[in-house]
Amino acid sequence: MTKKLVQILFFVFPLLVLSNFSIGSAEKNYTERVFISGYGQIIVVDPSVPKIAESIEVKGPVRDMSFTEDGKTGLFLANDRKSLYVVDTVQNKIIDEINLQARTDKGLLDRRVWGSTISPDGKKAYAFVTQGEKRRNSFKVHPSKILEIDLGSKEELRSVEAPYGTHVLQFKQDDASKIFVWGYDLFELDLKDMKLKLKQGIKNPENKENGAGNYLMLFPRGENGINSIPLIKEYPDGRVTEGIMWMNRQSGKIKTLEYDREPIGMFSAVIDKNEQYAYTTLNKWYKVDIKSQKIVKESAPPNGSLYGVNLSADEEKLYYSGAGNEFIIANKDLEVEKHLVLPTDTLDLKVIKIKQ
Amino acid sequence: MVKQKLGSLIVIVGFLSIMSACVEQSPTGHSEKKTANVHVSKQVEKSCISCHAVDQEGKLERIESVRKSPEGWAQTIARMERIHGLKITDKEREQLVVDLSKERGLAPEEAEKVQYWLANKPSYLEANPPNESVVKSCIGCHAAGRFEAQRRTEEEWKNLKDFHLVMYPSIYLNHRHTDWPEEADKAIEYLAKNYGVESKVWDQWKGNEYDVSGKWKVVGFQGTKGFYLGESEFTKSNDGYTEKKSIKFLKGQGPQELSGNMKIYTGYMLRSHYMQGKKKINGSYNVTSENLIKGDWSYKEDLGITGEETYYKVQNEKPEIFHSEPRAWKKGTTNKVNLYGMNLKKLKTEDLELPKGVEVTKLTATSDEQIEAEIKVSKNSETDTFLVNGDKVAVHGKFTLYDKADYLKIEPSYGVSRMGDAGPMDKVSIQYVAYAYSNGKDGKSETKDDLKLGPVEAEWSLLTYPEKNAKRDDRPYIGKLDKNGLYTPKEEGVNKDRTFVQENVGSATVTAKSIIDGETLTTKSHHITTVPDYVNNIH
Repeated sequence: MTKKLVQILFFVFPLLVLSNFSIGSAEKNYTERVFISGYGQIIVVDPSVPKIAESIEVKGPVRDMSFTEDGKTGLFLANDRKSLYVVDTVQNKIIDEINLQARTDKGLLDRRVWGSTISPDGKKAYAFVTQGEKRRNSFKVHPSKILEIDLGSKEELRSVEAPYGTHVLQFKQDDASKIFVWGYDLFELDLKDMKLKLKQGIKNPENKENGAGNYLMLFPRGENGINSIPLIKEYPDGRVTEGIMWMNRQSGKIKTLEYDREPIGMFSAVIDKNEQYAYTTLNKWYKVDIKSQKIVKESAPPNGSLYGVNLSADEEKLYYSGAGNEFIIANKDLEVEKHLVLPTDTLDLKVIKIKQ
Repeated sequence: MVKQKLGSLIVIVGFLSIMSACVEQSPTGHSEKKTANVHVSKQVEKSCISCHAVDQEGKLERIESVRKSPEGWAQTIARMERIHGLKITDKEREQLVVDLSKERGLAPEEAEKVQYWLANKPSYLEANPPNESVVKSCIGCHAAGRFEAQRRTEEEWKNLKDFHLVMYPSIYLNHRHTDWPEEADKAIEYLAKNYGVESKVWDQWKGNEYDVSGKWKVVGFQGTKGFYLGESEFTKSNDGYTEKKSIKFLKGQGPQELSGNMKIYTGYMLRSHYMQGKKKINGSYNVTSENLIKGDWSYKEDLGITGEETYYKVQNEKPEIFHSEPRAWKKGTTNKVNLYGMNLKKLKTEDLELPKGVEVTKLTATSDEQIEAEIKVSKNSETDTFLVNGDKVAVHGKFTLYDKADYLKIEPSYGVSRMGDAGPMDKVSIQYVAYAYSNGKDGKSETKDDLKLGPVEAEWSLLTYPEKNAKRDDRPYIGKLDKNGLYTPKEEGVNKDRTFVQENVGSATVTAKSIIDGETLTTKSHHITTVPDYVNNIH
């Protein structure tokens, strides 16, 4: 009897173990990595420890970071905004460097990227460039453009003029034919005919009574489907408010809130996918209840200003980095839980689910 | 026949002599040799022509379409080295600045308006340019002095816009509160109209040069220490002048000796490098006539320690008054006044032409440099500023008649000091000075007719900023304000004693209290201590 029980357990236990593993796998079929824009390197952090998984060397400070749908390829802007690096995020290796500088018959065409993104399938890159021709002893400005680049051949396929002030390109979720183009206002680029059209006035709203919005989206979000950024609004009567603007990447619908405080200036904001709470950072950390538009929790970064806040892949924790050489894990009550020292100062952080 | 030939020869020789004199002599007698085929100078051709070719009008591209101060040219050359790979020696760099300032410089009238910028005066409160587009597109980053110290053709002003957009494309993001390119176009229109390269004053001045050799008397003012007097002598050297100067504060210690070298740019801009003991002092002066030099100096390693100076050429013909303590005389009383100058033993009461109701009742020369005077001012005399005239005496500067001191003002009204000295960056202190003011004829404060009576001694203190309900008290960390109004910031770097704010930066309220004629006057100003001026090439 006892022997039979042991035999049963002998067979059942491995099944239970396997069964549990496969259940866990189904729930979490990805590896979570945090990509942090450093100086001269992309810092890859495994937040589960946390520890630095890899440092990928590039030229100069890292700016934009975008990823394919499966998270397995990343596009990173660095080298004083002159080079786009295509990175294999599984092996953490650079696949390619695309330098957008070019020559003209009169000199050098200095192109700087202010907003770039990789297509969900990883075949193309899109980059908004300002263009300046450096002639022998003078400079000539050329119109700024969004370039479509084939990542296989590294060739420029198409381009469209785009307004100055553009600084973020972001694919519409589940629709690889459209890119949201964030500048002073929000535009939409239709890739079928490479046409750009105004989607919504933000600095220049249709109704000025709604207030002119001012934001600098150096810290775009959207990994969970919601892009969000702190917003300063100025009204015709002189009122200035601070709050948050966010957009559902699938519907393209923008919402805003203005919280009940004097503007102090925040750099980045992240909103949970249920649109329940927003978290902002710079010299202070705020937790904002979206429904009531009130700051329900307030704290301060432990070692000085932090530019970037993001949510963990499971949205259970908050990650902070940007400015100094640190990565912080905090709970959603804004209490620091873990701290990791990084090799360089940083700008922003992206939380990516790399499919297994 | 011989007579006729001799006559012709004399005519030809005479003509050649006149032509020669015309070529070599400038209006002030300065030797001015310029080879027709040389563009600006041989050094400019050697260093610049590989990129700046001669254009269709026979001018060096860009270079001969702008005019700048020596400081402006030095910045341009530094940028050519920093960004465009220009390789030159220190000697060549200096020669370029000298040559460009001489051929493509500013007239004295043009430079006078931007002397504060040329002298790099910290905490100088510059008035906004009258053009709104200039304010919107330029002032966010630059002092107006920077571009007001330049003259350009319209094309060159336009080039400046493209230069900014190509070199600093982030300008779009920094200026997203405005439509920068559109505002810049409007600004360029204004600048081209008001700061064009062609100017009569430059045409009149170009090629002239003052000779400052000889002895001078000096009057200066240094905030927190007061007025001083001194003597100076300039001696010609290989590439400029050497100067020996001795000064003594009216209230203070014994004489201080300075010596240094100075160079003259554009024929009138003196740039000095002194040593005072171990202290290095830089001076920026303009010769405004054969007998007058005006300018500013500052410590090389602390721009906030600074002073203003005027030089008067020594003469022994007639009395000359260049300073008075005080300069503001109260009505209805007899004012005890000390007058400073030269040849003052020759001065007689009747030499001074004073306004109605003002009478010199006593004049005692204690030396050729100082007179003790008693000046009675009638209660009915006019409240105003005035000049003292007289054929037999030269009197510099304006004097003031006033009823009473009504209020105080602190200068600078918004003090910006900078941490420094821990690393490569120097600290910038602030010399706070309290000035007394009278309400003037209308009896109201802060109106156009108010009279500035001069600096006054004050009791100084620092309060929190804002004074009431300050969320944080920065005073223990940011620096010290001494009893004379000298504010000295602390060093940069992390201060572990501070919570959240990591460095010795912050705000405070500066207060000055002064008792004038038995009445206590107080005033306040805003002070900040901020980071070192790391990006100091965009001023």
